[in-house]
Amino acid sequence: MNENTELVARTEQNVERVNRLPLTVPVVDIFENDHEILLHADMPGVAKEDISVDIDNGKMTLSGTRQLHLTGAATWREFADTEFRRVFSVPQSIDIDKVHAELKDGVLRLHLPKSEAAKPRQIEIKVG
Amino acid sequence: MELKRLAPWNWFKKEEEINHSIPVKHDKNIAYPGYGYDPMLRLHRDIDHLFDRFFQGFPSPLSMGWPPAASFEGPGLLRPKVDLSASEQEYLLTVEIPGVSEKDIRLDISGNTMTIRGEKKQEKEEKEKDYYRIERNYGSFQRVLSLPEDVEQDAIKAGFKDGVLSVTMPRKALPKGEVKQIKISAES
Repeated sequence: MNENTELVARTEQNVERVNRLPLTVPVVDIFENDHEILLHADMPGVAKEDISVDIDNGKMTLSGTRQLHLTGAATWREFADTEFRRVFSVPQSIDIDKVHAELKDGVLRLHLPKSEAAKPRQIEIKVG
Repeated sequence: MELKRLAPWNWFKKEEEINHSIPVKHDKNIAYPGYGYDPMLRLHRDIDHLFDRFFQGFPSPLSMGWPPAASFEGPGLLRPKVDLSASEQEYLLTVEIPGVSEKDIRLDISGNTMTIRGEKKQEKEEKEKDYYRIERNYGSFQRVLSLPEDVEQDAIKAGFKDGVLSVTMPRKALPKGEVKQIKISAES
């Protein structure tokens, strides 16, 4: 009897996990110049509303879900519905308030501008 | 005839033919020029490859450490991933082509073969910058599909949104084999 009640309790806890989409790690290109770090992530089929970028405690979580709502029976599957998710470490030199992103043709372009203090500066040398 | 309709249609018949007719593409010995051609070595490598593929296929709760899903793979031409679904009225083909604008995708049909091809270009402005990693692939891509008989080729429509190409192929009713009924007359 005891075992039975325990089984029921566990399935209730796992409801969320059952509905979860398979995870895909998106491929990314990461570039850096003097002003910013630029990240391009392939997230085909994901609508703008379904993408979230969270930065917390030096970690950036990039996540997006794709639900294509296909009709009929699937006869061949190579990609299907999925959740794109990847976690990056963000250096402290990034100005988190100025992070912005755009989405075009299934590619997310994430701009991570460097804070003023981190940008390279040239120090003028005065003749004494 | 009925049995033939029940069997799943091989959409990639033509593609398989093309891949096998270019031996260079699959010849892994090229990466090890010193070895020359050794059938056993080749077999070993094929088996290794098979195992790699098998173990990559497991969904893992620890997917964070999983190798990124390459949407294009193989040497030579890139092969974007495709999904196919079928309903009573139509077939729906979806292709993952992120980072390419619809102008750079070509969709051709000749005979019963549909070819999706194009080129994914790397934007020029980025080249001056330093990069940490380049995981996305660039270059020409191609997929070849063999269309089933019941596709209404003139009514095929294609749309492109958020890096996913979707091709709708309406199905037409195939002429049914004529059934002749023979009247049985009662003999008295």
